[in-house]
Amino acid sequence: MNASSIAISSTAERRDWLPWLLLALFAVLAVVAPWVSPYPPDLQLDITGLRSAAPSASHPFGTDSFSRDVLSRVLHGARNSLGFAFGAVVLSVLVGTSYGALTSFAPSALSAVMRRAIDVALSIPRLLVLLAFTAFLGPLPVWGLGLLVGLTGWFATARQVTDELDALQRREFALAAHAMGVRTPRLFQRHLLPHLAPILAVTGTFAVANTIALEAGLSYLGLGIQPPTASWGTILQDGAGSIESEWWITLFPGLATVGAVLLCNILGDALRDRFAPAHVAGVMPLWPGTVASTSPSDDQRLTRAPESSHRSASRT
Amino acid sequence: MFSRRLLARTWQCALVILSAATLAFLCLHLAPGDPASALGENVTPEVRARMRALYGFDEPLLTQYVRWLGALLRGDLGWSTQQQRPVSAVLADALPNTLMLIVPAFALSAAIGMLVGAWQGVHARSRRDRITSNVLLVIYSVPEFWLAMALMLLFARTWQVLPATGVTSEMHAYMSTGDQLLDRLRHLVLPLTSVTLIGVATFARYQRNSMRDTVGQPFVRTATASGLPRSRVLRGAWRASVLPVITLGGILLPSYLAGVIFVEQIFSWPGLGYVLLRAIAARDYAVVAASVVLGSTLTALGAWLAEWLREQADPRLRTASLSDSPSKSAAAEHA
Repeated sequence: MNASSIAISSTAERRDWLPWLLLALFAVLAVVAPWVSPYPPDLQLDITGLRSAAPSASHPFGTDSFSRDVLSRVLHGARNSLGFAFGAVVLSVLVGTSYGALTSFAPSALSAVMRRAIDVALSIPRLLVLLAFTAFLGPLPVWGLGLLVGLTGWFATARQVTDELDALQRREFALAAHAMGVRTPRLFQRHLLPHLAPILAVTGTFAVANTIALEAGLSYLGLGIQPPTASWGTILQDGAGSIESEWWITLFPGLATVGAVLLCNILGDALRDRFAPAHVAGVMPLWPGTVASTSPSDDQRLTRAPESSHRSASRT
Repeated sequence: MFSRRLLARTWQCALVILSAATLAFLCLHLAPGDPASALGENVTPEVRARMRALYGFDEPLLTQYVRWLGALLRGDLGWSTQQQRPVSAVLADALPNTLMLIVPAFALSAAIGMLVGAWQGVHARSRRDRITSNVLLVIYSVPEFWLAMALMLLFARTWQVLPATGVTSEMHAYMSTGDQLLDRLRHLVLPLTSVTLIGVATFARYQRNSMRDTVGQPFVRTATASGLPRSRVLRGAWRASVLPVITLGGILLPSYLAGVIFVEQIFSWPGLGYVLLRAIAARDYAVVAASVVLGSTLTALGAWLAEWLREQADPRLRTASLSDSPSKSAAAEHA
């Protein structure tokens, strides 16, 4: 390694903490929004005097057409948008991991059916399903929407967990644990789950990024979080009609959305490079770069030993 | 003719469409109200019962489900209450507009993304690679609707160089053929750019990693060591690195459809997404259900095509599919 590449890597390491810090700042602001925001998010301050006022010292982000303070709304929006995305992703990771574990440990006939079901579910466009449900169910409360988004977002995680567990079960430590008489639930919990954690962290981080954008999009269409609740998407929707004259209503929540998504993606990239999920399972996949955030390609399935004796032996 | 993998993919296609149809059916039944409740208060129970019988709502759910599937197969998608014409006619008008957007967007973003990504992969970790990666990551992180709004604000409203909405302008019918074509192209630029840019960023991100890993592989080193010109080595490496990206292309299709829905809404582009969102607003349930089925069908067909393409690009898969089915080849020998 020559001097210049060392310099590059050290500057890269020095910059590593910046996205973490910014993301932490977003999270802290979201948590403390009720205490730091200058006004209540739904308060109409002065409908005649402060209607769509441009940014000023007392209202740094201006006010919207209902004379509400945009800064306060963006801060509360962070609370709703980030909280929503985080909650939905936690739900989908839990469901996805459980389903993936059940699939990997299930008897082979059942397991094949469960795998096929995931492949099919992954091929149906998620946004279409979400739009259809919101159309037929009508406006949903925030928790209901979170449930819907969480329960339509776990398929990729399930697929990844299944593939990863298949590979892990063939490794020596798993075989050794099994030979010592460790039962399947304990094998999964104590021996395999820690190996899944890095992958789940990577997928989860990318999923949070996607879900923030998804919420903003749905709310922008009027089918997500419902006004007057402040989320970045609903503020964008409020300002979309008057984007030319009152740019401050859309600019700030827009920047917040893009910033949060970008930070999550940077973090996801960093985590992926750090943990290199391809190597976690000890299998040498053909294309390590493609593992995170998409499912492993069929190439890997092809090259892996088909349902080996190890696998069937690992069940009691 | 078709390999076993492709045949399996065909079955999966059918399963996807069936699942989407089932989902749409369940949604239709989740929706509040049936034809009987739409009649109002002053109707006797007998009339209500007749109405329900007329539309088959008194039959068991399974019978209704089978009938729904049968109707779908015949292309009978129901009646649009909003537009007062068959749903199939509504969707037939919208489909070409969506395809006009999604097919060029997909092709362009795949081509540009693969080129940029391969170039980055060869120069991985260099300064230009890092700068390009950062730019692409920012584009990748921008939600489609936000990018579309920004493009529209800049090019259509502030600088007014391109039209903001619609497929054609009002004077379209009075133009010469050449001007008509130009008019259509000008309308296409902004929506197409919105969908394509994000697609380029996605493709390039994956192609970069794939190319970076391929360039480090032994066969590339061997080729270089044997004195092949660098361009030929890289061409070979690119061919190998492109395979997982083709798979990714199949996986990406649903997200393209999602992007197109937002972009159509913003540019008032009368495609499937536009029609779907109008239908949702008007509670036109038949159109919503049919859109879900049609959207999933498109995605499934696209995924099938990606699989076929991958098989064309990767000779290993073709040989694998041959050795996969020894019984078939044995049968061929005995014939």
